[in-house]
This record gives sequence, C-alpha cells and structure tokens, in this order.
Amino acid sequence: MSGNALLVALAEHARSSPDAVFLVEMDGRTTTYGALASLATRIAETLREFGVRPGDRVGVHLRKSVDAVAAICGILHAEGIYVPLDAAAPAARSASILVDCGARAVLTGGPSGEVLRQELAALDAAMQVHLLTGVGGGAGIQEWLVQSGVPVTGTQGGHPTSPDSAACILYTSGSTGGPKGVVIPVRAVESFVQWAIASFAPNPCDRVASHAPFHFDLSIFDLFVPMRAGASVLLLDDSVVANPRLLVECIASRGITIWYSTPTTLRMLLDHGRLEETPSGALRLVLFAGEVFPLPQLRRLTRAWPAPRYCNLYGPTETNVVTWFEVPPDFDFDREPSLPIGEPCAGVIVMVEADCGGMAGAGEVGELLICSPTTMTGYWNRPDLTARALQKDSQERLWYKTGDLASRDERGVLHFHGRRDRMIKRRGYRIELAEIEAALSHHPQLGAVVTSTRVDSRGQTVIVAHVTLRGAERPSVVDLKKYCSAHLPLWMIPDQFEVLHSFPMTSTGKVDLQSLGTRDPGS
Amino acid sequence: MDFTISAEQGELRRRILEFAREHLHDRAASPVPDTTFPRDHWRHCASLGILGLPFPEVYGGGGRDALTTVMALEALGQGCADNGLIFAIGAQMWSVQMPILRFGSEEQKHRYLPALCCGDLVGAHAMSEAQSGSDAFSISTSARRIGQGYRLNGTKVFVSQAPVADVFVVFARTGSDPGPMALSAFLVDRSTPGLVVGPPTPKLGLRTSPMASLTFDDCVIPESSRLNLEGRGAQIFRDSIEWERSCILAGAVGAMDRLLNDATKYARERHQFGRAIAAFGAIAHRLIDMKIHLEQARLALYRAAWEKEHGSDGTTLGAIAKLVVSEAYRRCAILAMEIRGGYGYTTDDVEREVRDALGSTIYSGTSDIQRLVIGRSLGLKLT
Amino acid sequence: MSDSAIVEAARQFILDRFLPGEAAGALTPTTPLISTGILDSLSVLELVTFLENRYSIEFAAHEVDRAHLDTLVAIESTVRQKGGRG
Repeated sequence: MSGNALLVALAEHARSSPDAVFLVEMDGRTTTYGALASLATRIAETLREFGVRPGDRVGVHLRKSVDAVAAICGILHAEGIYVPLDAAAPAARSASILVDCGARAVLTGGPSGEVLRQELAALDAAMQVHLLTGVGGGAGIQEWLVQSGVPVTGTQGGHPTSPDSAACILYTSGSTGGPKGVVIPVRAVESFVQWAIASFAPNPCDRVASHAPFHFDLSIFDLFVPMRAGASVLLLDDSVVANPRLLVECIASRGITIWYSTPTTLRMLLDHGRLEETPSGALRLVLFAGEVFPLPQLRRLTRAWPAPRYCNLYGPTETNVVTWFEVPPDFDFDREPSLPIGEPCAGVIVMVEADCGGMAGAGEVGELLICSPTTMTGYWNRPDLTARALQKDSQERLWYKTGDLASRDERGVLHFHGRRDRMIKRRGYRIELAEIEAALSHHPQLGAVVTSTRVDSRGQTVIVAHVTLRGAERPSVVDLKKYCSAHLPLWMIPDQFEVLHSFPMTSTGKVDLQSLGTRDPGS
Repeated sequence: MDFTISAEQGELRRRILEFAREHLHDRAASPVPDTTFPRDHWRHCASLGILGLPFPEVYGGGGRDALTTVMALEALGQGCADNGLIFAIGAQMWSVQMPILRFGSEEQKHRYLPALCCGDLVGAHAMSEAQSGSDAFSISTSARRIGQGYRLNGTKVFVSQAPVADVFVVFARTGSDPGPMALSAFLVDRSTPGLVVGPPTPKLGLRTSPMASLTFDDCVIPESSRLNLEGRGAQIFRDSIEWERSCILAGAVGAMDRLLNDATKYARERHQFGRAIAAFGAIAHRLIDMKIHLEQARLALYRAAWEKEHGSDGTTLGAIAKLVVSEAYRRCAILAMEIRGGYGYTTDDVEREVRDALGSTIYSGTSDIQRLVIGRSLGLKLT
Repeated sequence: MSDSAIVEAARQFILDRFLPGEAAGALTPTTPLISTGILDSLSVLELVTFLENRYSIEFAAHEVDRAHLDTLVAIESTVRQKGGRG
C-alpha cells in the first residue's frame, strides 16, 4: 500500500486477516479490512488521476459512513491531506473552509452535497466537487469509482511519506471571526496512536464506538487506534448520535467494548438514555475528553456501570491528548474538588507557567504549556497565529501555549482551572465567542453584538447574545435562531438573545462583559 | 411521587405468593427444623425465574427492575416460611450474580449467569476471614501470580451455601500493599484442586442455608477466572454489598407480614378470661406495633431498591434499609413470640422464626456498621 | 381556527424553556424547530421528557427525530398517534 505510515496497519490487516470486520454501520452493514484497503487503493488511484498530488487538500463532506472512512484512507493513500467537514453545518461555512485551505477537491454527497456545490460555484472556487449519488455502506463511493472510469491498475503507492507531512486539517472555531485550520502531521497521529495502544491495549476483539464526527479531534482515536489494533469500529451516524436511548441500547446489543466521547454525550446518556436501567454489556473502557466532567454525574455513571475503566483525557485539538487521568475505583467524589486532568502521557512534557514567567509552584495556577510529539504543525495559512501559539525554547523545543489555566498539586497531578481568553467549551466543542459575534453582526436588523456565557442550574453552558438594534424593527428570537442556523454550526447557536438600547460600559470604555454576563435575560 | 403498584408488579406478587404457599411451605413448618439445603425447592424457585428476576434476558434473567424484584422476593418470603431458603436466594442474587453481571467479562457472564439463574449452579460469596469481618479489606488470603494464572492461599469463614455451592466469588490480595487497592476478585469452581470446603458450621438460625469455611491450599486458578481488573476487588465488594444491603431483606419484609397475619389470627382465636386475647390492650398493642414495624420496613426497602437503580444515594439508603428492616424484623419476631406466650417459647414454629430473625442484624454488616456508613454520608469523621 | 391543546402546551413549553422573551405568535404550528436550531439535540430530549410525562406516553428510541418532532403540527400528530389526549 502507500507509504503513509498511518495506513501500514490497514495494509497488514488486509493481508493477514482480510475477512476481519473493520467497519460496522448502524444498519448492520459491515466492511472488512480487505475490502476497505482495496477501496482506499482505488480511491487513491482515482484521485491521482484527477490530479490530486502529494500535499493537496481534499475535503470530506460526507456523513459518518464506510464511504467517509474509505475517502479518508484513500486521500491519505494518495498522500493528500484530508479536511473533514461537518455535513450538517451551513454550506457557507464548509465552503469558506474549503476555500481557506485551497482544497483541490471535495468528496460530498446527499442533499447537503448539492447545496455545497452551489455554494462553491457561487464563490467561483476552482475546486473539483465529486458528488456521490448515495452515502452509506461504501456503495456511494464504489459507484463514484465506477463512474469515474479510472482503470484499476493496482499500482502500489509511492515513496514513504515524511512524518512531518500533514495528515489532516481540523478546523476549529477561531477568535478572529472565522474558523481556523489546525494542521496535524502524520507524526502527531502516529505518536498519539502509539500512546493509546500502550495505554489501553486494544485487540482484534475490541469494538470501538465512533461517536465523534470526523471533523472533531476525538475521531483520530476512533479511526486510527482500532485500525492499528485490527479491531472493529461501529460508525454512529447522525441518525443516532443525538439519540441517547438508541445509543445506550446499542452499547450492550452491539457489544461495544471501547467508548470515547465528550462528557456532554455521556451526561445525555445518563439524563435521557435510561443508562442506569440498561446493562453495559461488554464495555471495558470509557474515555472522555473535550471539557470538564462534573463529579456528580461522573459518580452516577461509574456507579451505574462499574465494570469499565474510566479515563479523563485532556488536550486541545492543536496537541491532541497530552495528559490523562484514570478514575481510580476509590476516587473520593465527595472530597475531591473536581476531576484532575492527571499526568502527562508518555513522551509529553508539560509546564505550568506562572504569570510572572517561570514555573509555577505546587498549587499555583498558571498557563499550561505543552511540548509533545503530537503537536500540530501550525494553523493553515496563518503564520501570525502559529507564531503566537508555538514557541521555541533555548533548547529548540517547540512549546504550544494552550491558553488553559492549570495547576500541579504536590503529587504532580494536574488540575484544570478554565481559560485565559474568551474561548468556551460547550457540548465538548470549543467556541470562540468572536465567531458568533462576527456571524450575527451581518444581520440586517442588528447593530452591535456582544456574547456572554453563564452556567445554568444543570451545569450546562448557556450562550447569551446581547444585541442592539439598527432601526426600529425588532427581529423575533425565532428569526435570529433561523439566521444563526444558516451561518453557524448548531452547537454555536446562542441559547438566548437579549435586546438592549446600549451596552453597559466599563470605566475604560470597554463593554462591561461582567455586568452583561450576570444578568438573566429571561427574567 | 407515586406509590401505586403497577399491574405488572401486582400480578407478579400474586403469582409468587400463590406458588410459595402451594409449593414451599410444608417442610420448614414441620416442628423439627430441617437443616439440609432444600435443593428441590431451590430448583423450583429458579424454574419460576425468581433467581433471574433483575438480570438481563440475554443472560437467562427476567429483565425486571430492582423495585419489582424486591416486591417479588417479599411475596416469596410472605408465602414461604423457610427463611433460610429465601436468604440463600437473596445471597446468591446480590453477592454472586450481581458482581458477575456488573463486573464480569462477556464470557464470564455467559458462562455463569444463565446457569445460576436457572438453578443448575449454586454460587457463594467468600470474603470474611477469621481475623477480618467488619474490617473487610484487611483480609489476608493471597492470590500470587504464577505464569498464566494465580495461586490462592488462605481461609474464608462464614461462607453461606459453601457446603452446596458449585462456584465461589473469592476475594484475595493480589498486591503487597495493606490497603483495599491490592484486592482482587475471582470466580473459583468447586472442583478446583486445592479448594477444600469445611464441614457445615452449626448456627442459631437460617439452618436451611448451610454455612462453612473454605480453605485454599496452593489452589491454582487461570487468569481468566479473575473478575475484572487486578485491584478492583474492593470496588466489586463495595458494589455488591450495597446491592445486598438494599435488597437482601426483601424476604424478611414478607416474613414480617406473615408473622403479623399468623399472630392476628392466633390472637383472635385464643381465648382467656372468656375473651379473645386480641381484645386485651397488651396484645392489641403488640399487633399494632408489628404493623408499624412492617410498614416502615417496607417503605425503607422499596426506597432503597428504587434509589439503587435510579438515584445517586444508594449507599446511604441501602444502609438505612438494612438497619431499619433488620431491627424491625427482630422486634416483630419477638412480639410474635410474646403473643403466643408459653407456646411461643417451646420449639414450635415461632421459636424458629425468632432464631431466623436474629441473624438479620448481623449478616451483610451489623447495625453498628450501617450506622458508620450513614454517619460518613453526613460527613462525620467516624472510625 | 384555534390551535389544539397539544400544540398550545408544546408551544408554551418551548417558549418558556428555550425562547424566553419571545412572543407566542413567532412560533407558528409549522415553524421548523429542529432544522432551524430553535431546538438542539439536548432541547429535543427535554421536550420528549415533557411530552412523555404530560401525556403518559412513551417514545421509542427511533422516534426521537426530525420526522416526529420538527414542527408543532408534527408533535401533535405524534402525541395523538401514541394515544395522548390534548
């Protein structure tokens, strides 16, 4: 197969156990290692034929499916860089991401694919749009291969890919108003996979639930760790990801052994999925990341399903997982203030930097800096942002400045204390409030927009948009939500809107965020 | 809040009560208490699905919730006077089947649960040692790693059903640390060489639930017999003891109901000074107190079972249920004896009921231990 | 024609819970709820819990979706189909 280190395992399993199941879709259709490997090879050949060269970006705008995984593997096989997109997000946002990364091509399908094609056409983007007739079970991509008419040559892929070449670009919310692309090199994925294999010992009998969408960094685990271990992956698509009862039922009925999601998802299973009344089946490992897991809910979860190991993984998209904490069986939920983010993963160095510079003492809160082989190359096309985030020390080591506040206790265990800036976490997604403000500021009836957040009685982060009006006409909340849904992904839509005559100001002439944030617009 | 008993729960209770009255009542009611384990009755209960009630159907269970299960077991205790049998059923369900369900591998669950639910296998739980009772985590039985397995050495005491059990949940020390983190749990088959079951331990009550000690003498077991990961023993024990505390006295609540019915009937029929003794305030108050104890115990039991499945405070409410029900059960049995006067003290049926009830404040943690658990939930630093 | 009691109850719940401050008229029986982001995945679950409790009905796992819940009209027909009475 190709020289891409990430696909070596796929080729090996395809050779040694071609009939072993790699992918399972919700409707029960399965795809073996052998089938997926040959599909990936053909996709790579076809992409090359279409002019995709090493280092070219190729968008994957497909719902979670065999087709999407095959596309990702095919792109990597062709030494391209895959750019996963949220097929449910507004087409305008996906189009702007594709334009930003200068994608050579995008693979898309379904009704949202047609909308994306039109959006790209309107932007005059010079990019191939490969529209799959159907998505699911690999049938759509097979059909596309046939339609493309590229002869099957079976040529083996070329030269080994450099570990520093990029594997994918994951777009996250940016503070300058638009999403920014985190460039993840092959080396970073490789290091992460090796750590996960050493820490969790996945084996061919494991069944990993892939809950996170492919544009979310958690999916790196879901795709590449089982692939390395020869395990199988249950692809949870849009029809189930938000359906807690189906998810809880399928954990036992589909024999899931490894689960990885945000705490929000696990809380959803607890609050709405009847988890406490449902057996956990063969589940042996529950990993969660992306935000803080409140202790009362974690306690409920570990009580209801005591058999699995529970691990809190920490790390921004820019570095993937860099510290982890396994919840010990005797964890004292009553006495501990919060769940620690634990200790650095093998090969990772972390430093808590005190405000005055230098290392923070035990218990002292400071910014968390990370030096890890799993770190990104930089932000796509944003040398300014990259230079601010990645800094070299005197020993030429590259450090990533997380913007997260942390402390290290006497035992050396790390604790998380929130953010330095206006980035927030909601449902595990990170959101720059500036991106919401930028989107809303184009609304014809709105003047200025400022957003704030608060935590409601259930511990959920609520985003409030405080707006002033341009004229006398006042848009309804329903109109505003509809407007947002056309310009922002669902998880970024504000929960509440408050119309003000003017914003409260601080003495220094800035908008008084503190006073905005403490009011309850509902009252 | 809704205390309505559903049609499903009512029907299950009625069915089990009828079954127990019809098929399980005779032997224990005989004047000389039988001390042998009633395997035929055990199998009969299993064939009705009683042992599998709260377990998923894929493992041979009935898929009922915890509250419905304790209601069913209460009906069983109400209809069947063989308290030892009911205790043995509860012990296996909560301290053998439950840890296998909640911590076992898929292979272990498929291997043991259907056989335990249908009565083909009898399981027992081995934790206590001569030097380690309430201080459970100080056990010294060791499991040393050898190649692909472990070598067990040590002695367990007070193992209910040991004389008749086919498989044991055994807790042993896999590490050298003195604390709870070095404990692990194992599923050990009776036929394993090096496992010796001692002679039955004579005891005051619950004699149809035979008890014995277990000795492990270089008993070698495969790694696949370990329940969950190494070091999870304390957690497994804590989890199963909570289920046990919350649910094992379901049968006792039924027994209290039965004692109250029998005592009321007796007091109405027995005449002294030309009147039914029920008309005397002293007797009537005893019956009234029995009723109050019964209803308080029932409430505590239902609340704990519900909490265990739906709530977050199963630890405290389980301890409260264990304490409230067992203390009420003892009082009820003694009140029933007093109502019968001299006949209660002779070795007729009520005398046996009193002996059976006395153990309830001791097994699954004494009332003192339950108070310790409850105190800790209040943030009291007790030792 | 006035809206049915089920539409009214669901409308009131959605307004109170997810659209505080909004005029009732902004939410018509055919306003899409899920596709417009008025209800996100967690809000949908809260709505289902509300409907289940209020009408003593039960949603099957696969029924918690856009087809059954995207508009007040769809919500009403789903509740009626399950035997819930307005």
